[in-house]
Amino acid sequence: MVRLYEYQGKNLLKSVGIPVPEGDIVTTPYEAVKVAEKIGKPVVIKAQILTTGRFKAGGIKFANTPLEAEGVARELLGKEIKGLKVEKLLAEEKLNVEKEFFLSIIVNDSYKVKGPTILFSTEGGVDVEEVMEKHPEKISSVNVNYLHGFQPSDAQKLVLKLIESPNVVASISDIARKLYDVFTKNDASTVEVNPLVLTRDGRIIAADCRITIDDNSTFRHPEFKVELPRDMARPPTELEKIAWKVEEEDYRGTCYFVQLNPNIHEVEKGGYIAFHGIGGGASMLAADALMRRGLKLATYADTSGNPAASKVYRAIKILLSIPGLEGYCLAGAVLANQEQWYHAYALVKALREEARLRPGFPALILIAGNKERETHRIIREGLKDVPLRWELYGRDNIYNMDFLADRMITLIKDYKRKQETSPPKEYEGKQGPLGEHLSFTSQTGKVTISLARCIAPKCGFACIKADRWYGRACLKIEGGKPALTGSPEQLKRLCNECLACEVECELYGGKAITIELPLHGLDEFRRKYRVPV
Amino acid sequence: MAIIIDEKTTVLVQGITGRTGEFATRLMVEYGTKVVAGVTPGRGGEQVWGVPVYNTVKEAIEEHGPMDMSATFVPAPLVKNAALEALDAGIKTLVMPVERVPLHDILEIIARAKEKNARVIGPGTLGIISPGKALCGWIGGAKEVAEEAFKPGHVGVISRSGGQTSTVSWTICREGLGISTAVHTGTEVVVGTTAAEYLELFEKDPETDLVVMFGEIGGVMESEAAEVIKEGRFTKPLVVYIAGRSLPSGIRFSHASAFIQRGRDTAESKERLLKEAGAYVVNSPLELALTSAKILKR
Repeated sequence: MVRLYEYQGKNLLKSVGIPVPEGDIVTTPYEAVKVAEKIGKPVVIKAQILTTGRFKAGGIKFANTPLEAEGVARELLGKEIKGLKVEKLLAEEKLNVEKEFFLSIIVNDSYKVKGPTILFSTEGGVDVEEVMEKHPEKISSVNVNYLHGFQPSDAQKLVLKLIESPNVVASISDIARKLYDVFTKNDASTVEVNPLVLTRDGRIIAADCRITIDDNSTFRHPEFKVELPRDMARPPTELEKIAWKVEEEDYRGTCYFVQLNPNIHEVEKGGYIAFHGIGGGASMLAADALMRRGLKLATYADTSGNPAASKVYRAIKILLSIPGLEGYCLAGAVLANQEQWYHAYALVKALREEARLRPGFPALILIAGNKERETHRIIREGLKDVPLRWELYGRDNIYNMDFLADRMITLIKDYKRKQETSPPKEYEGKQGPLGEHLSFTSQTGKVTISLARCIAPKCGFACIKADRWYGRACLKIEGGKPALTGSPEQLKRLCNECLACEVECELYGGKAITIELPLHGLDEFRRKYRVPV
Repeated sequence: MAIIIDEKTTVLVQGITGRTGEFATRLMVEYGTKVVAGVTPGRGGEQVWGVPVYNTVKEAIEEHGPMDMSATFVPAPLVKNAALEALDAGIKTLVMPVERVPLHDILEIIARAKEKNARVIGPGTLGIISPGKALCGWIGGAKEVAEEAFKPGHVGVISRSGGQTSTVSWTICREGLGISTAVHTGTEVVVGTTAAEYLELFEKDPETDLVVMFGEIGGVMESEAAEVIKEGRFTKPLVVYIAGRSLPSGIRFSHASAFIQRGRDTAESKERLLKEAGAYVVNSPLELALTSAKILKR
């Protein structure tokens, strides 16, 4: 569900012939004067922000003269209302209201309907939920057969139930049918006109409108220039935009990322953990259980649908970019269908990097399902020398969330009591010059193998074994050293970004392989909030 | 008996040569599902895991006779055409595993299915399984997981989460019980078959003694389950857990349907309605299995 601004919605209404108030969008006080002059009547000036209750919050003001309009526009532009910055205003003629109605189209998920339902009420201008509860007799509804469309007779029936005047019935049922056109033409999930105003001079006008577009259909509607097609009642945060880029540029699996508390400055003060689930149901049940146990979650992330290891790695890096975190929890409370070793390698690569930046950091890991034993082996081996407070659990604890929450709390307490300042001596990153090397570009990153650092065959060709097992045979042995099996073009398509070769070389070889997986804007974000890079 | 699918059900796979279609076909064939034919336009004459491929549904039916069920493994923007083709060819059950199908396409598919008296499972379903008999979709992911998580028995499972369909079933089997049929309803805002309808089918199934439901915030599915019980159309025990209780409204969580919009689709209100109707509402997913065991072994 992508919410449209009021002015975007009204443009859609206008395009099918539904009357809307005379007016225009303005971005400067000067433009407000011009529009008010052109209207030549008292105007209403409405902040274009995606929230309800704008009037009460001071986002809707009236102006009797162009001069007043300038003042109002000056006051509203740039102001923050409910945490949203006002950048655009809609200046419109002020209507003389005789009566207010409500008209909307929703997708009714009831088993009796499973289709569009049109709702009409003579109690407009207020929350329709309230009307439903207090005055159900003042609401009428019609279910539409999607194959047949919204028929004129149905539209009339809808309105006739509550209104007698034939003229008003004719006008509103005509508007209702046009609204249905807006619904179908734009792949909307809801359209709502509240209030639909009957003016003292007998006109019927859509005074406000809220339209949401189905987020699975945005590919059909480039005209809406959707920044992040994901259901959200507030605009996306910086990190959510970075995460969306990852999702957009890599179709393998999904990576959901939302900040449960979007206020970074509040989170920064401490007391929060990064939450990362695997699968929708698992993520929800685990988040629930952790919160019930008193843990504060800064994020809700979900990597599932068999994502590439590189995608999971990026998700973890984004999660750990939130300032002030006191722990990380991977809650895979699911007997997953996907092979979990890609999550394992992503986790090992990300946590090995992060451990250098935040020694002693708590990481609680629950992962189960397809290839669980192998997955656990990878994580255990990969983190054994890493200075983190990590614990790993599997299927025996899949629904044991209270216990896991308590473990998380214990790890955090311990971490806060004695925070390590630097990683232990024996744990060091990649060293020595790159020297002679091989490299190729993968689908979303770059693989570099330093032959100068490579210790093969002493390592038993750890990278090549890993590549055979988890990758797609991008590497081979040539003259006792690793070599590439194809041209850069071939390797770009072949490499599945399993990250196994890098991790295994780091553990058993000469720390000779580096897989760079860029995340645009993440380092800048981290520097801005003083998170180590 | 089980519901909707058993060892006699004949299955067609649309999009059989695609990455996921091929993967799921292998799983279904290995599990023992009667996969009769596959369709991919332009790939007629090929074979996938021993299953013959045709260019159109009509061709497949001309060759093999009417089929009971189709699994549509085609990219989301093409799902509508595939589904309508199957419905027009007379297939009465569609299993639609693809996520992110455009909403208005779903509405059209469901409306057409209603007209043809056909059933749609999903979209966004991991599938349906009657343990020891057959599965349709990619539930389980691998034969060994499917066999481990789903043992034959008398508990019906309805889940709004794909992964939890296996996980809940696995915990139920760990308690020494088994599954008659387990189904994932699908991830989308509106799905072809809802909990209310599955409950009515389970009511008629003599093999099912009890139904377990993994619910979520958002939508009306759980509230309508309560309604079906109240109206006496489901009389067996129903054990329900609803995920997402602590999550805030106004954000979609993973599934398109897990989105609290209007206050009546919160965990609290659903739990209240279900309790009033006489369902067993539990506080954690583990209790789904424990409570079922207690009820059935009583």
